[in-house]
Amino acid sequence: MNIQALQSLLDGILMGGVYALAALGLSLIFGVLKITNFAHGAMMTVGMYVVYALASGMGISPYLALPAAMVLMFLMGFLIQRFPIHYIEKAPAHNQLLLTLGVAYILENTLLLVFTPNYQTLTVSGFDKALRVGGLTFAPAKLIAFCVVIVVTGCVYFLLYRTHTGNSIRASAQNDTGARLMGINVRNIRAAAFGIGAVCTGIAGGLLTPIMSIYPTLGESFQLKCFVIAVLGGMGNLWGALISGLIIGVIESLSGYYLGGSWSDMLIYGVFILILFVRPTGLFGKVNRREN
Amino acid sequence: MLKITDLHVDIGNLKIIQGISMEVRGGEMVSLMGANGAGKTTLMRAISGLGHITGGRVTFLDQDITHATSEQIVEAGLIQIPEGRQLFPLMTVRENLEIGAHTKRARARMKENLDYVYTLFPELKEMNAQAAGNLSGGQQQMVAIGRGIMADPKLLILDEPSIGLSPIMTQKVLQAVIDIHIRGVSVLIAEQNIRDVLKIAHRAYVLEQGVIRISGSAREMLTNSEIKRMYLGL
Repeated sequence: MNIQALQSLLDGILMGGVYALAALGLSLIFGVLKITNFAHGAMMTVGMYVVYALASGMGISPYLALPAAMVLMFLMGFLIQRFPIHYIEKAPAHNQLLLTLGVAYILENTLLLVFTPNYQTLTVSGFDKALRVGGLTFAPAKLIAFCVVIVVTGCVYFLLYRTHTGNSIRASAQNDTGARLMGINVRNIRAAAFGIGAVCTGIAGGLLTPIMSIYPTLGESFQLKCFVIAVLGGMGNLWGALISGLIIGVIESLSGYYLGGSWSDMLIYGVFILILFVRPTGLFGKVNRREN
Repeated sequence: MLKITDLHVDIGNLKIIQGISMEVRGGEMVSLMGANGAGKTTLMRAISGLGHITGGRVTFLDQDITHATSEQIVEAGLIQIPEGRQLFPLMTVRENLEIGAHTKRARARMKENLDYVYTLFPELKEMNAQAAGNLSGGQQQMVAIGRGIMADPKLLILDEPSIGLSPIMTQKVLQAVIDIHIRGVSVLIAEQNIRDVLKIAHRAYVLEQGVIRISGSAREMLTNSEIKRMYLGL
């Protein structure tokens, strides 16, 4: 493997981490609510614009804007679940698809209204210099993004597996009746889970703001990517989502290097379909997992 | 303690519970009997806030809980150990127990109640780190009862706690229920081992097609000719 290929591999891992965080949110939402959130990409774009607006409007570093973005994303996710989505939880899957897709369009069009369809670029001072180690270059924004992803993912895991709220979220996902009979307010817990999912995708978006030019419909391409990653990891399986995110990031980047950028999407979906042929529940999905 | 007056509960368009009045007094153990499909589970779920109540009234400790949410009902101290256990299969035994102590009231007494669960079922201590879904039916029932204790009940509702269990395990479960009752918790229990449960209960109600057919003291029930014929096979 030559140095450029190694560089692609590294870039793939760094970007894959960001995808993984967004997909983690999608997988978490599915795990708890059994709903595929088709507004996930749009929520990611909201995260991008929140960071963009805070950073360019107040002149602060985009990374300092992240905590505020987290709070906003949580509130937005909580409210989206609590009001529209709560009412279609028992509806057929196609209705859930339509509703979350509708939410996506509302979010996108709000962004269009406020920020216009123009591309926006956030320049961060000092980021023009790349870090060089050996023959490899590390773009600072990607490096920081990956580190933040690790920290945020760690926090999400801590929250889910080490706190009472997290236990309540997992309990509600595994047995709704059991959770209710223990006095858990399942309604709020579901909304909180959606909020956490929104934070994951919003932060992933915010981390991309210094890396790419943003526009209101940018999230659409990430929507599909998140979905592929989450399904590959086994819907609802959080570790699976993380590993699949890295895999997809690497496939994307290496196929771009060896075959050219236009091939990367084709390869991603090709690999996705192949894996589903062999393992319909995804790479890390348990076969016929029943939760009763 | 628990007082139900002319309760009506629907599932979809079906009127399952059609005007039931019954009560559980403080310190009592009351048995709810009836064939499959008589409406026992529907009634119990409705008491815990998981049913569509269309008429009547439920009060618990003089507080109207007819339309209270399940959280409010649990917080008040009315805890149900449901049919089919309803554990959290991917979580460990310890996590299942800890989730039991969800309400503020229960969390304050968590240590005490956990100690009691381990005295009642010492084997649970060794299974602490295992996923609840991997346990046998009997072990799962112990976790379910333990989780109920963790919620710090004043009134405990048990829906078919021994279903699918071996005779030895059934005795163990009933023994645990007696022990919990002796500690001052009132009990409402639906149990298929009628003879066993009538020996330990104070009173019993027989549910048939959504109404109370027979009610009386457990001792009367054991000698009631209709009960003998229909439920005791004599």
